[in-house]
Amino acid sequence: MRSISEPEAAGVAVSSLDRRIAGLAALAVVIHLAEAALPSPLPGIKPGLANVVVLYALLRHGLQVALWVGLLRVLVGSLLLGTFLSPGFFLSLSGAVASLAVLALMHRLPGLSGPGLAVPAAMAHVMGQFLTAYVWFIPHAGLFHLLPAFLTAALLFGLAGGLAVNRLLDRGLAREGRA
Amino acid sequence: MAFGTLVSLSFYGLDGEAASRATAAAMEDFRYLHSAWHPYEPGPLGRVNELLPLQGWFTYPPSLRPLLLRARELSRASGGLFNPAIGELVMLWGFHEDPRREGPPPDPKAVAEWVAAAPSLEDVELRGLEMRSRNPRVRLDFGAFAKGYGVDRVIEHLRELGVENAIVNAGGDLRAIGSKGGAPWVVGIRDPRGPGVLARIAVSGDESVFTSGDYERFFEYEGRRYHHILDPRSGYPARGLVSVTVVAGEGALADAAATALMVAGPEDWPQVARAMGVEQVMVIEEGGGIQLTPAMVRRLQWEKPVPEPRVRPLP
Amino acid sequence: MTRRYGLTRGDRWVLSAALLALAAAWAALGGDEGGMALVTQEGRVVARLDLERPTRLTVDGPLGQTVLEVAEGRVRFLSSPCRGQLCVHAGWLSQGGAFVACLPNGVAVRIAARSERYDAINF
Repeated sequence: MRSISEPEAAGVAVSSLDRRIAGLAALAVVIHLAEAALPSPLPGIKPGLANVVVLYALLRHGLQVALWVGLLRVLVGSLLLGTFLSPGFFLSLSGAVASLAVLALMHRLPGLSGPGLAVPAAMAHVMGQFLTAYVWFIPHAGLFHLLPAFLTAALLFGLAGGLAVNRLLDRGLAREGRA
Repeated sequence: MAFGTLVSLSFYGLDGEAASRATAAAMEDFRYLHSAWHPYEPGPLGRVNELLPLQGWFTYPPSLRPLLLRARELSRASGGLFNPAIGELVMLWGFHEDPRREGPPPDPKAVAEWVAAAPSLEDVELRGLEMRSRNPRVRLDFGAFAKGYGVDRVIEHLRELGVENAIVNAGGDLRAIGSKGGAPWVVGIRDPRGPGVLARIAVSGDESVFTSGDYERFFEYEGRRYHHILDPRSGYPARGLVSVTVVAGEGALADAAATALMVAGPEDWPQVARAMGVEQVMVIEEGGGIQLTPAMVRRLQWEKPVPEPRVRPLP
Repeated sequence: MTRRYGLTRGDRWVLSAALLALAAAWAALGGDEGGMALVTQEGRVVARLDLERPTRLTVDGPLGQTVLEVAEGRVRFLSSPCRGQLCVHAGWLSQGGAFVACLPNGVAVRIAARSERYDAINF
């Protein structure tokens, strides 16, 4: 049975890759929305759970899927939140671009698993946001006095997220092994 | 100049209005004291200094009496190293003007003559509200002690206004009363030769922290440096020490002692500290060495690496 | 890839590097440096100047107008109506705790350290 949302109905060929991207991006967007709705004890500091999905996409399906998921998450998330093209959107985008760039550079390095990629990506995310904030919104050196605190949070959440991705992948492999 | 710098006040547990009232009162006090005790400008002390060389009896302002009496006690205790009759020597050196007029140090003969005349508060006789000097070279300058005495008066006034927790800081010399909500006030002692703070000391209850140093006022002439803490025995700037920090209850005592110990120098200062009744002292030698009394060792926390201090028990 | 506590050897290397970078960030940016200048006139606070925002401030005193200048994280007395001009000659201030006053015109500037460690400075 075909669902009405099946893109083939519009005459576009849909690959299995597209399906994966769509599914993972949808998941990332939902988490993105949930995080935006939840109050944070520290303004501006969020666990970045959506990035866990991006990392999972990278390790499970490769760089191309991860890039799509990461960028769609920002785009669709902002459209749904109504922040598209607002300062928040650009901050979000620059963080995502910076962390995706780091992932693209590092994911071919041997011997790294989830945490080894997630921590630098999370820290790059913060740096990207700070840089954009400084260049476009708050050209004030005092801004960077907040950076160490944000980087510390990035390290902790990156570590937790990376470990979570490892477990997800282990389970997935185990399931496939059983199947 | 009686108070070379501005005054700052810190309060704890006062609302904005009470704090600004207390600030206004303290500032008014300092302004008055500054003009009343200025040795070289027209005013109560300036007038006394005009009359003293005449060596006859004259009536002096009653407000000067407690100041004179306390200064005489402290001068005696210091063995004359703290000498408020030093005004003429200060003028010879040009330190009575701020900024000092450019020029060489005084003629050594003039300095030697002043030293030979040896004016001191012992030359000043008080008879009720009349005074006279037996020595025409006496000219009063309370610079080494007026700041402490003034801080004490302002603290007294603040207490009358109901202020319990405060720091009165007159250009780096201060008296602290009470505490900061139960926690002691933290005072940083600036490094006299480098940037930043050398040590910190927690003060509470009622304590004064005063430092005299060769860096406060000085001039250079032909490559030599001359500072404003003059040794009445030689007529020249005191030698051997960069700074002396004294912690004591009374500001006037801490102020006078810091000056007297500067003059006493790196070897003899413990005797003078004992004679003046101060127990918590840090001195910094010209070579950078640090000497401490045993009581001061327990008070200080270093904020930067320092050479092993030499502990000098008081005799 | 063998993992201990969920981390591969490569992860541990990356994590160590990240911790080093973090320590450097804290050391460089969390340091105890200036940030704000407290301007007082006759003991009353007339302005708190953010040293990262270049500006000029004119303070009225008994002798006239004292002008302060803030630039590049520093502050100085740009001009003063006093005779001695000591305050102007004192130049730029940036270190936490630094203090310069112009007694004749009653204007004082003190740099507050980012974390105020001391209630008073003795010198």
